[in-house]
Amino acid sequence: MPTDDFTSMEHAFDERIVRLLHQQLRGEVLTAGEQQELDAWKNTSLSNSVLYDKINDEAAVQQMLQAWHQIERNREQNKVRFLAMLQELQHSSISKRPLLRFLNNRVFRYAAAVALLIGVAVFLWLDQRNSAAPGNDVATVGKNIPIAPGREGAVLTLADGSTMVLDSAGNGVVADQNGTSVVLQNGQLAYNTGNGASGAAVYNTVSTPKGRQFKLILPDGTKVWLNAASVIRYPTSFEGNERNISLQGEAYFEVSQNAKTPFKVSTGEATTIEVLGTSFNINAYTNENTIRTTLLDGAVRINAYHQTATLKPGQQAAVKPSKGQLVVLNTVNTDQVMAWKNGLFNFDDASLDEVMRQLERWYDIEVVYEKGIPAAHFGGEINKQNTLQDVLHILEGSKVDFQLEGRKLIVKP
Amino acid sequence: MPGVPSYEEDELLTAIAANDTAAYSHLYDVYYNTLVYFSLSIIQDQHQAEDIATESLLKLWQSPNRFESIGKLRAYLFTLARNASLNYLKHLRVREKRSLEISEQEQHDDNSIASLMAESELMRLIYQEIARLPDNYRQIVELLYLQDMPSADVAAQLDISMENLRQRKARAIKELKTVLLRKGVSSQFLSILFF
Repeated sequence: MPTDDFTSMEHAFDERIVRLLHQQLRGEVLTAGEQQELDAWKNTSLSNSVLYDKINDEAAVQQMLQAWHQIERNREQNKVRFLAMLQELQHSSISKRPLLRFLNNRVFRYAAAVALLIGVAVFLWLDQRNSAAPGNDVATVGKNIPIAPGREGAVLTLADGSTMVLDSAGNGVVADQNGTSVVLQNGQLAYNTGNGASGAAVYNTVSTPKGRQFKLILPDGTKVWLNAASVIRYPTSFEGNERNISLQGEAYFEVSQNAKTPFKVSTGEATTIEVLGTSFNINAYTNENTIRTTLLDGAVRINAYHQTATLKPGQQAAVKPSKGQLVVLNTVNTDQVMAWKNGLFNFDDASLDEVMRQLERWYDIEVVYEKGIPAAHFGGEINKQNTLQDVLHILEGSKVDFQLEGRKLIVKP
Repeated sequence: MPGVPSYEEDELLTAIAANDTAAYSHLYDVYYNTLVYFSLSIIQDQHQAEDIATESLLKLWQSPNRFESIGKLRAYLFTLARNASLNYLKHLRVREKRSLEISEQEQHDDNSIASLMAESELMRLIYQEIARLPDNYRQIVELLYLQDMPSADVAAQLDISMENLRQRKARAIKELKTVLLRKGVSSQFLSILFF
């Protein structure tokens, strides 16, 4: 044991600071003096300020507690082993023999083998859990665990407000909504309207968190591909002379033809897309400054801020809510618009922050810019099934560097 | 040492120096998780970190010493765990020749070690509060929040209906709030976690 290290560390661990951090995490109000003390501590080193930021980040705290919990789960079993080793030490005539002797002892070799088997079982179990829930890493403290791509899944909210996680439910009828049965088949949601008269229209909502996308078929047969971090709300049976739904986020629609009842998507505060039998994509994330409707086939009419435009296939309507402005673009790269549905990222001529917002949604991460947003532009396509680390590796170049801390991605110039 | 009522400091130090098994059992209860967490943060390998924590406690037993204070005893244990962890990384590096990562791992300087120690201790305090929740709620918090188990699986495991789970979850969040966030400043904190 190097004695000099020992003395240097004695001062390194300050119980008072731990107590203040604890109070801070619990949201207790610190006195001015305490706050000052904590700030001084925070400013002594980069790692202190990183820790300070971590305890103010709920996702990081959860990860830290999860790591602790994993340790706790093995604790009892490891304690038995520890006490047995102590016993062994105590009864051995030479009390200071080296630890390695344990490995020569049959009992401990056996114990080690059992421990290893348990270890492997735990590992397999964790591994399985990881692949079952890529949004949530187990025992993650650091940056070396690959962040898995998103996958299929969503949450269904029924008319009574109850919710259902759709990626863990099996195939079959998952709910009954006023005579309409809600069916989950191969990870895709559909509605079977019973014969004729159903009750009053009730509304269902399907939402995808970050890291999930989902496909559903609306009661009128319209197909919807919902991208990550998106919400769609619709009636379980379309009554009256319009089919009205609402969308936040991004979705691609293939609307089933019905000339008598137009299909209308409202998004944002004052934007409605009126559909005349068609396929189109709407990108209406609240953290993007433009609502983009891109028409692939058929015809749609956009009503936004008292302006109207009718799109032809290949055109895009760009609505800027901040300016209350509607612009129609003629030269649109539809491959790029539809890349997400086809399992790709298309970063052609995308700016760094555009790219990062897509990664945030698909890998369920948070992006932080260390010194503003570097002016980098990208090109090319990347398969969305790559892990985050692989994608970053591809993107990393002369202009940007990335550092991953848990689920926080730090972008450095 | 907060939360350790069963030994007077002096009594414990004497018992440790005398290689008293019961005192070591107590020492294990208090420091084991903290040491594993600390080592895990450095080496990113839980099983290896568990071995390092166990070995650190065994090394203490092998060189009995009367420490002046619990603080010094703890610092000694952390030093053993730190040295073993950095050693492990060094071997790993040699074995895998991951030259690129050397500079990154070299960053485990005194400063980062010190904040890691603070972090480990902080986690112990928070987790202690969760462990004190009534069983009913603790179970829910563990499965949903600490193990990220999907709600449907939790309901199946506890053999209760989804509706029942929802109710228990709501109560568990409330309990956890009073324990974890006494002033309830950030209630959004928990609703996000329980998504």
